[in-house]
Amino acid sequence: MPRINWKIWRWYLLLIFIFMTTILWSLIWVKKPTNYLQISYLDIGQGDAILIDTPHHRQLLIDTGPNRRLLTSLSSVLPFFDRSLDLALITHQDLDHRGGLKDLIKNYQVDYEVASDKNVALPDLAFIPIYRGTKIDLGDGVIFEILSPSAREVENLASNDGSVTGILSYGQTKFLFTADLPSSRERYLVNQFGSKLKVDVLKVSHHGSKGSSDLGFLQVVKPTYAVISAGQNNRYGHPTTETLDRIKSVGAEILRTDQSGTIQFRTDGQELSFSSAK
Amino acid sequence: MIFARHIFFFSLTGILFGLAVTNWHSVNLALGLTLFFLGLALFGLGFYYQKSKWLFLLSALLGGLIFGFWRSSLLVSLDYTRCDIGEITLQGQVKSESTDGDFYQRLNFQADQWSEKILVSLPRDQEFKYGDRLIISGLLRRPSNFMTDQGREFDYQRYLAKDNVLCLLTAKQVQKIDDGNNLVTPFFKLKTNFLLAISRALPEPESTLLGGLVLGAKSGLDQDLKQAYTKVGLSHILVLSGYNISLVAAALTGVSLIFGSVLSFIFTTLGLAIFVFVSGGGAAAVRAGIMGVIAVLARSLGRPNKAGLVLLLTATIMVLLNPRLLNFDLGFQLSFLATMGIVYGPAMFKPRVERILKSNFWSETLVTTLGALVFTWPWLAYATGQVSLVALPANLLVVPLVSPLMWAGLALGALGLVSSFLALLFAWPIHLVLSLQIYLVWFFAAWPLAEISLGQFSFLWLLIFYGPIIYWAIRANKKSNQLARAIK
Repeated sequence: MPRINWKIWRWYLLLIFIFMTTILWSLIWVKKPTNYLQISYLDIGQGDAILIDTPHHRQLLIDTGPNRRLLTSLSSVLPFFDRSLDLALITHQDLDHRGGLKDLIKNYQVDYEVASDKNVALPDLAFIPIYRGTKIDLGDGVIFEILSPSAREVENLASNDGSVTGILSYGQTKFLFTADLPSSRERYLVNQFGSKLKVDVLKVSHHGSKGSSDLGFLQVVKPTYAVISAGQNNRYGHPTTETLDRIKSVGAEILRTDQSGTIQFRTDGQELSFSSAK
Repeated sequence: MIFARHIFFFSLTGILFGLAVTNWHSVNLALGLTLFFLGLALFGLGFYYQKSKWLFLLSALLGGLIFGFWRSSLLVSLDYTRCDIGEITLQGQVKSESTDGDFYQRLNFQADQWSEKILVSLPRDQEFKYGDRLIISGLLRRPSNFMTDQGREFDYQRYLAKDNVLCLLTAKQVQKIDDGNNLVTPFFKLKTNFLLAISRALPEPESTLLGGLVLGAKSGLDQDLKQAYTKVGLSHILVLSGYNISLVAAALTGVSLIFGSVLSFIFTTLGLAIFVFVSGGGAAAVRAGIMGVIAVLARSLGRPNKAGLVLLLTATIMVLLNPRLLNFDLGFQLSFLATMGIVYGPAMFKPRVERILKSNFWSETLVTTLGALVFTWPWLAYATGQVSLVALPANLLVVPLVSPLMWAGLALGALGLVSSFLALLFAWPIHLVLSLQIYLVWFFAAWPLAEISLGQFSFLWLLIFYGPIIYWAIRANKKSNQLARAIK
């Protein structure tokens, strides 16, 4: 047995300890609470994926996009050793909204899957059903309230009609998420909720297709920003010119993931700012 | 002795040429017979003029040529009308791991009572593994050739034919009737868990990249990033190549050497066989593996000429087993040429490089990189119509990082199988290096003239390019051989 040279090993051990300490501190630094809520409309091609990150880093992902591309864009907005999400919300069963879920749970620890439609539940995930009236309390005063569908309707609604729709509020700022909701359901929401739908940022329904974004609905919502999540040169021609014109007519600034890449909003409950990847 | 080697060399070249020609044009009996008698006549003349060895060499070349013709005449031509059935239900076995597309997964399927395979596209929600027995119903169709982004026609039929795939099937319904558990299932499971451990420890795209470096795992890398790797001439590090294999071989030998050289050799060979099989690269990985090992042997023996001949022989045997490889498998062609470059390159470049670079590590890297590049460049340009102008600096900066990354990746995956938390701590420096690599790739790909398009050019140009390269290689290696002998 060769004798161990403790003089050298001392230095190695010291180095290893410094290294570990650095990593632990950086973990703490990154997980340090902030005072703002961050919402990232991820650039995942044609589909939806939106990450909500609260001041204490409770993370809710709304939809997962069509495929693995989610993972790349997710890691561009999360620190590299943050490998867990609290909730994954699947709005409805279309593949461009839930196709990436399987890839997500292989790479990230996801605590719960939440959805209205039980058919989208993955067997390996704890599932919580959510309906109109459900309020998800994400801490720090961040509340996600589900507006549609109700528990009674859910069985009878066609896929897009049953899209989970909800309002996220933090202080004075509000965000509306509509998944693939068609115009008829938008009008229904206006009837049911009226001025409660007024928000700062609207996730434009169904990637800006012409069958969504009803003018009456837009006039009630009256968003400052309208975010469109669509793929570059997608084969459906989303978003359509008619829809873009309708959105412009209510005075909203349009932001598109196909043009700007991932779009990030930041708010402390009062002020709202955004940045984009491109 | 040298004469026998030359005869051997010319016959092998003849066989390859014969097969290459008949892959494109059918050769009739009359031409074959004419060449045969011409060969005989030359052979006879060779005896008559005892001094001229060229006559023998020419007759060896012709002999090889005819042998090549004969081999390809045995090829059964593929009957694509069998794909025109339309809707069909088939029972059979999965013959590959599935590769993930954006919306579909693909796998090779061997239907019962079919001698050829079928490439099946299925939705991504179900998972299948090698050996599963399935009943698939869907639409059967012919593969059709298409235009690439560079405006060239891509011969999809022949590309699939090299793997004996005849038809495409878009599956509408799939039913698993038997779990394909066999001897290799545990190894596949190990590989899946290994890759999973890596993807839990590293974010995307770094985790897929590391999976590719270690195991040549094909699916999952972003299309844009993949294109960038091709653009800077680095796509070879993403697939299982002779290079990865030689590193694994060295590791296996190192571990097992205490049991004596014979046992160590058996252990290494078995280990390599399992590694190559499990990597999922199929026959292509096996071929790359064999060539990689030859290259390593050649380098360690210091006998480039013999190694070159062995390489040629190996390639010829592979092509005799599957003649379609020669013309339709770019991976095979590049593997062969790159290995030739690694074998012959050092003698060509070392004298010049050593004058400038004193560091052994860098000069070694530079000469093998240069060798591989010089031998593959013209062929790549011919086959793809694209030439990467930044390949040299990109390779020099990135390739030296590949082998430490491979080791680190193996260690990270193994650690991750034990504890994902420990792996996460260990992943930090690896993440840094991988990000650096990706940064370099993007950096070089963004250069205005990173890649230029040449379009289609004649095969004759290729001969004009390769002529001087081969002449240079032979002369340089002769010189270094003489030098070696003189030193002895």
